[in-house]
Amino acid sequence: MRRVTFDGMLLPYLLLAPQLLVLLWFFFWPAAQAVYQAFTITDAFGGNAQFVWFENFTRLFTSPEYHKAIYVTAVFSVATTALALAVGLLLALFVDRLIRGVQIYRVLVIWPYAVAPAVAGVMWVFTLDPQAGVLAYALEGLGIDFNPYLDPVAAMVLVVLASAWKQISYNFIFFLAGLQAIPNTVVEAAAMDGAGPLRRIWDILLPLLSPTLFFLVVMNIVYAFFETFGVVAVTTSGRPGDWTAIMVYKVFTDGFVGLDYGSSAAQSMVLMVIVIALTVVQFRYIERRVHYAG
Amino acid sequence: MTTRRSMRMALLATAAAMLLTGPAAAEEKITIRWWHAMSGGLGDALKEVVRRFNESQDQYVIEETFKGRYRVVLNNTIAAYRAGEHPHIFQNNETGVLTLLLSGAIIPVHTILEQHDIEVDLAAYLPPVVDTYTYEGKLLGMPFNSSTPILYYNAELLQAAGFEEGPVTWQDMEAMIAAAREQGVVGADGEIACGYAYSGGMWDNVENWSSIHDQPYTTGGNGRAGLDVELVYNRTALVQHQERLARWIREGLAEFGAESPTDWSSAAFTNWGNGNCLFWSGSTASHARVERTAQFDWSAVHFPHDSDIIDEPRNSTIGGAALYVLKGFSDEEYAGIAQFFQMLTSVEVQQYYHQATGYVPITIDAYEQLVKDGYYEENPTYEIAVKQLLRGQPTENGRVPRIGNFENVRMALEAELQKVYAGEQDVQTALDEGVRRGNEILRRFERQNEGNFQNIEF
Repeated sequence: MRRVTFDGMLLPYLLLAPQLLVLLWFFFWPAAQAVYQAFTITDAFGGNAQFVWFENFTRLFTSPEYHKAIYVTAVFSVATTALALAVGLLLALFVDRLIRGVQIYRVLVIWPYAVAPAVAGVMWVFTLDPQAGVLAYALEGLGIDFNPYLDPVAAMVLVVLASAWKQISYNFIFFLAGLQAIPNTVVEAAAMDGAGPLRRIWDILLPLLSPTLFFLVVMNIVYAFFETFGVVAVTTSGRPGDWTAIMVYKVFTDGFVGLDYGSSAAQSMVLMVIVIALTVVQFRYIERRVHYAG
Repeated sequence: MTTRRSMRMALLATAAAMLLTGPAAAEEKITIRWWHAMSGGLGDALKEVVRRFNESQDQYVIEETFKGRYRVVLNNTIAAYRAGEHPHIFQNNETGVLTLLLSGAIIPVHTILEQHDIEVDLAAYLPPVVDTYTYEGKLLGMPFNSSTPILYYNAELLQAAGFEEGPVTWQDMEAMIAAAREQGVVGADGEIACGYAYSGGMWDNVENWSSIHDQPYTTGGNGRAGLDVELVYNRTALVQHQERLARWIREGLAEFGAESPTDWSSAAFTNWGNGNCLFWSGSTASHARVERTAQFDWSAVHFPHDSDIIDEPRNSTIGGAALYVLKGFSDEEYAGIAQFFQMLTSVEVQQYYHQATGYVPITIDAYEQLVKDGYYEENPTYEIAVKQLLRGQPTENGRVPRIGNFENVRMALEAELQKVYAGEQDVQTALDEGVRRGNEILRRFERQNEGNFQNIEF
């Protein structure tokens, strides 16, 4: 094979330039602005910017409200990820064993993924509203008083359900693809050795599925950290008592309701660092234990 | 190729639009852009006011755009101002006065009107309205829509409980709810009527309650003394009132239903509007919505007072908004804005807006004309707010708090009080925590605006 090379350095850079400019302008420039803003205190209209070094960060980490937001985010993202993965996997296992009508099931399960998070949120509010909600009504029949306006646990259940629901489809697609890539011969061999369906799932399918699972854990946590803003905004708005105010929602309220752009920018820095750290940890330490099939 | 085609389409569309509106109209008129927060019935009334102005003269054209709730309008405006793409006029509520005063981004309406030879007579407005939007005797924004909370009630359910008239005090209210429960009065949902549909808003049950009972919200005359004031509501009779509300929720006399983050509705209003509850407190500007929603006989009374705390209730404070004018436009444009504002205060427009929305008429002339026309004999609930705003001798505690990032201070207390309803903490702790968080916000605002008093120019 012939290697294609350029004579000078000018042409390659020229060819790359449009792409790089777009990246610089739409990604690096705003990101740099946010970093700068995290070190300043400014009034709402931006007229009085003072450079304050790490004051915004020290203020954040000594604030009980911020500690609470971190805790809420941890509970929320773990619950959302676990629920979305578990249900997604279960559905994929069922559909994988189907013989007829696979197409129909697949389409039906993938459907929710096309729904915007905010819309999913509104739908779940309608279902779980203590006065008008179908599901809340059913729960009342069982003697459970489900009121997300007053009860922090109910509110958390509501945002987790609304966030996970949409993500289930996404996980389902990947799990199903992963399952179908596992050679039938392996499963059949196990069956001939007398392993029942559960045994086969636990000892064969899951280990072979672990690369997919690992990838999905990362994707789901990132989803729970960032993309769920719309769900919280339309369902609970952080209520009651900030018990559903996840970190990304607090970035919004402090910045765009509290008009404290410095603190808001500092919080987005923290979020960015957390997600980078999570990803690094997962790739460096967890990946080693993951079995990759050839 | 596509861009060229879409440009051609756009040109065609513009040409078509010009043909429809007439060539002269499209070329000559100066456009004034106005961003506002009025949706639904309130928005329709606003559009009508704009239509009247646009048709009344042929020099200017006002282009109104609904941007969302007040805080959303403010955010959009700030972003646009920083980018140099801001509208001429934007609407902001009573919580943003200090932010805008110190912003250096607005031209006080007083200045604009005076520069265009329009006399500003502050005595022509209702005093609480003027007080909210003036600094050292100068009008900052043009008062547009002003309201105050009143108590709406379901007359059918109240009658079933044996009462012909609405309550005057919180004690009355409690007795009425208890009586209705004892007699097993049933709401539209077939269950024992819920008493007070409570939205947990801070505007009515904290700020206005404090004003009516002559209790301070902050030190320094509710914030007028400067940026270094502190919140004090945790050491006033407000504690007793919040304890009453918390007890009502606990004992089932009140039902909590949160406010919507996006518009003016709340789960509490829906509950009451469906005919399930006796009482709901809300803005007088909810008249249009109540009329549209309630399928039962309803009426309204003054926002109640607590007879253990005060015998003669004082004035309540206004909510609503004023129109602010931003810097960066030509004198010709400002002349048009001045002309528009002059029309807004006319008796006809005030009368129209009041009747269409329930917002109070903001000039004394307009109010007196409505009284003379006998409007309030037909529509007594529309007058409650005006009377409530004007009653009693005004004190410093009866002024809208003028503090930094007020919206955020409010939300901090709201969150702390919700923890009370969830059984996490007691009322005193919630108010103390609200004060602690609120004071942090105030100190932060003080730092953000160091030296910004020099931005004020008249």
